[in-house]
Amino acid sequence: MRLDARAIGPAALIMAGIVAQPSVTYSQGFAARLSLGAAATWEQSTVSGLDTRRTGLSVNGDAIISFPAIQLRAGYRQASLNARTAADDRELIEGRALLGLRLGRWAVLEAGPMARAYVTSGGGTERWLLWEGSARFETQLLGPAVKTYVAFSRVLGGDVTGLRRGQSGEAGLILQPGRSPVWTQLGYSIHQTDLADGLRVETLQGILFAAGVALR
Amino acid sequence: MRLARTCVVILSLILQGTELGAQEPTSLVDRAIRAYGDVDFDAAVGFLRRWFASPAATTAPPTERRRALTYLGAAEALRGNRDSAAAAFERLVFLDPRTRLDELVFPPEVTTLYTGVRQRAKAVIVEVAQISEFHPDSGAYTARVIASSAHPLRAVLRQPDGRTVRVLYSGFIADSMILRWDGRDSVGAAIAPGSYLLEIQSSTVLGDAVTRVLQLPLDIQVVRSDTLPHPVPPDTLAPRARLGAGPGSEALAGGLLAATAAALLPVVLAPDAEVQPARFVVAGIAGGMGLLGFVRNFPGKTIARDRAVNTTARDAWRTDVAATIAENRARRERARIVVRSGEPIAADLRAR
Repeated sequence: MRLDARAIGPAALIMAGIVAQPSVTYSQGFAARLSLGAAATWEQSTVSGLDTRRTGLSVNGDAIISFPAIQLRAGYRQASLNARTAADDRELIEGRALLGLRLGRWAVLEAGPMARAYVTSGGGTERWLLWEGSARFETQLLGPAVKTYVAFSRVLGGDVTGLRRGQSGEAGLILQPGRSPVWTQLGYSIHQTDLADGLRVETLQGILFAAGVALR
Repeated sequence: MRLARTCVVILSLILQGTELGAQEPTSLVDRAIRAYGDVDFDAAVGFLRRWFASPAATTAPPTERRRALTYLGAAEALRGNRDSAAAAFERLVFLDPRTRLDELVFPPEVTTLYTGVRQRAKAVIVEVAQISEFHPDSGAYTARVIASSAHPLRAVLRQPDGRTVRVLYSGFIADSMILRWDGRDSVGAAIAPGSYLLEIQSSTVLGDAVTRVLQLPLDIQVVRSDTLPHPVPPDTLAPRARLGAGPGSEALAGGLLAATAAALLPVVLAPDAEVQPARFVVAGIAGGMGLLGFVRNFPGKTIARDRAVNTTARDAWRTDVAATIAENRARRERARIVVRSGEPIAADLRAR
């Protein structure tokens, strides 16, 4: 694994949070959240100034197990992305596993690996392995029934040729009316990875609709 | 030595004289009774009148005075002085209406005269405990009234200025009766502590004139039980009924942050990428929800749930206060009354 020197800042922030773990507020017990959703996905792939744009519908799955101070997140995304020409179509498969640290009831710092694979229509497969660190903020808008979240991620390193930087962001709403265990999510996300010293830029945007169940 | 003997003799004479002086009244009554037994009625009357004229007669116990009056009346009757005998017997009746003459000791003309005087004299005495204590609801102040003969009687509790507090009895008394007073005035209210008079008026048989009044001073105290303190108002413990600035501000800040993030993320993270306007849907919803959360949690807004809790607590407090007031009122009404009785004073109104 190669760590990007410019990503040391967020990594240091996460490490500092882990060190400061004893001061974390242990206000919540064990909980689990499972969700399944679909996202309208737009991909813009720029290679040497040549743009290829693809759209498609992705299937997203997410599972979170949280303890009083830490949480584990596992995510999966698969999308068939169609370009103007069928030869440029490709399939996106992505999985991630993140270990998170809760800081109060507002913030979670997460870090972990993310694997991404592009399967081209020709049968070729390109695999990435990235290490991400993210900060996620969550707050109530209308009591516990309506929450909003904002997350910022940065690629800390990865096993990708020519990786220069990668960053992403996500914002959205979570609705969980009453004491129902079922919740729904609406969010927008964007992820951009800069490879080969800027000669290749992969940008993914998506509008996510998901439904899930919370177990406590 | 001679001087010492002289002093002893003088001292013994002084002590003897004191002893003789102390025994003289008793001796006079005894000598009168002895003279009466010797049918020397003049001597008996003389001894008794000397005794009554002495200061010792006023401090003598009632039994001794009763004995002296009995023999004075009998001696005067047997001397033929019926008026003097009647006067002595009347004093005897006023002293103790229960007095009966022993027919084995006194001849019929004496007992007949005494019975007649007793029938004509309309007088009572009252027997009470020196200190009486009772609860108005469960007890009463009692006074035993003993009459010389049957006559109309009126018993009134008065204030010292003469105002009637309560009429305890109005009717005939034959021999004796028990007066009861429950500690309340004529309208049923608890009496105020203070000085009062129990006045017993004896009237003629026809009830047309009050012939004798007996007044018994009463010192009445009302001893109340401790009352309960009022319950603490719930306001000091109540949850806040109005929102602080926290929830509304959090909602507004969170909503605006999410909206801003959704709108500006592409600009910040991928400035050269083609941005999707669909993100504004998310931004608009997040911002709108944040504003809605701010409005719904507007600082200072009443919290319905807390208000309901407070209302319930306040209602419970009011109920407790009402119960406390009722209990305290009951305790005040259940106050103990302590009555201290003084010496009765009698006034004969026939001369007026």
